[in-house]
Amino acid sequence: MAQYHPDDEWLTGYASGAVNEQTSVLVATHLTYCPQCREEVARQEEIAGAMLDALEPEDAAAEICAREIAAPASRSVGAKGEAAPRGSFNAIAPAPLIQYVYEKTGTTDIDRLPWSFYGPGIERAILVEDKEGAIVRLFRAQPDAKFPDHEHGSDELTVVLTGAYSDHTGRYAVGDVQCAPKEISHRPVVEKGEICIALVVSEKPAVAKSFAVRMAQRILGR
Amino acid sequence: MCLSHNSINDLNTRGAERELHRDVEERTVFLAQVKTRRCKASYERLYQYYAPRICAFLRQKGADERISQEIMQDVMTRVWHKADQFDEKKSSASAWIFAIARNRFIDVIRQSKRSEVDPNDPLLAHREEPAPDSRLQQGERISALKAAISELPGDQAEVLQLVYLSGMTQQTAADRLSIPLNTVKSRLRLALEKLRRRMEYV
Ligand SMILES: [Zn+2]
Repeated sequence: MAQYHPDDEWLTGYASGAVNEQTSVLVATHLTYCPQCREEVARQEEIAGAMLDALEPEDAAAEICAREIAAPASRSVGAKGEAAPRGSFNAIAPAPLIQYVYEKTGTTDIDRLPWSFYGPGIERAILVEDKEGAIVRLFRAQPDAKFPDHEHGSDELTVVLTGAYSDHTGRYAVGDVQCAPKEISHRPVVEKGEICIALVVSEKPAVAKSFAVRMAQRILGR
Repeated sequence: MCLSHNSINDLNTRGAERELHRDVEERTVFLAQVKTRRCKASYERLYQYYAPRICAFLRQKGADERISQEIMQDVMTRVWHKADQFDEKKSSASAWIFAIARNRFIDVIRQSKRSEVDPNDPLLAHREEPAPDSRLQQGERISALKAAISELPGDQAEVLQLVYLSGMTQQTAADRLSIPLNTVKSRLRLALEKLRRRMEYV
């Protein structure tokens, strides 16, 4: 069972819907391994539900009611992305991450992910690198591999999928989340015995701005 | 056939209302009836109650009136078609519908993807020991929670509103209120602790 959990701010952001896509997949991955955090998110959703009840109702088109039921195959229902096929990644990753990786790379086969050399015994596969500064990648490190001492340009969130690593802040195993603020410099070392695969998300604090801009564009564009 | 509202009213007048509500909140019963019996009368009750509140929620998040109506219709359509995924043992109708509305907003307005845990995931970890008995039935939990929310100090209630209804990050809420991020965090923490205690014990 996971020992290291996302900061309260990420859990609350997940429950309220404020976190971005990559933080959402990282938190959902942890939640799969962590019943306590799942309960916390459920509790916060109950709080939000109670607040929804207390809202002053807005006028809503009441006549739609009958149409909702009459239209069993509504255009919007089930309009999900294509389901990910089974691959070797299924054995080590929770469902939300499998779907995410499939949508970004088109494969669920670990060996067909876009791995590139990162350091001795360490490979990296970049899943997302967007204009807004979000970088999402998987690392695959051999037992005993040592990451170079590094600092981050921004806060960094890691969740472990297989194996374990340690740095001066602790030992991180399957399901654990490390929230490394940009000030800290660390040097993770992979444990003996098992390959360590982890998802790493670099968080850019400017999420809210880009969201507001996108929303304004969408509303004005209509 | 499903339990008609007349018969629910009959139950109520027979004094069984308290029993019913102690176990499960009224709207949660309606949603469970939509799930198990495809009960249209129950769905209409849910629609009348939630449609205007979902619109208010979406307006609070910054969507305009027309888009709010569109998303609301989509949310309510999902309530009908996805009712089989509702688990009344795990959440109330309001929490479940909040989550659908939140996710549709992320999808449609932010055009971003939200990841959810798959309850059938083979990797899903469960508690080693059962969750501590909350001692409260769901209906009681929800009414205790509502009372506790209404008793929160104004500054904590304000932060809760911005975070859960407006959907702001804590940093954005701090900017909006012109207070430090740490103040937002501590108000939220205090509020959540209070609400948690009240949800667990009478
Ligand atoms: Zn956790």
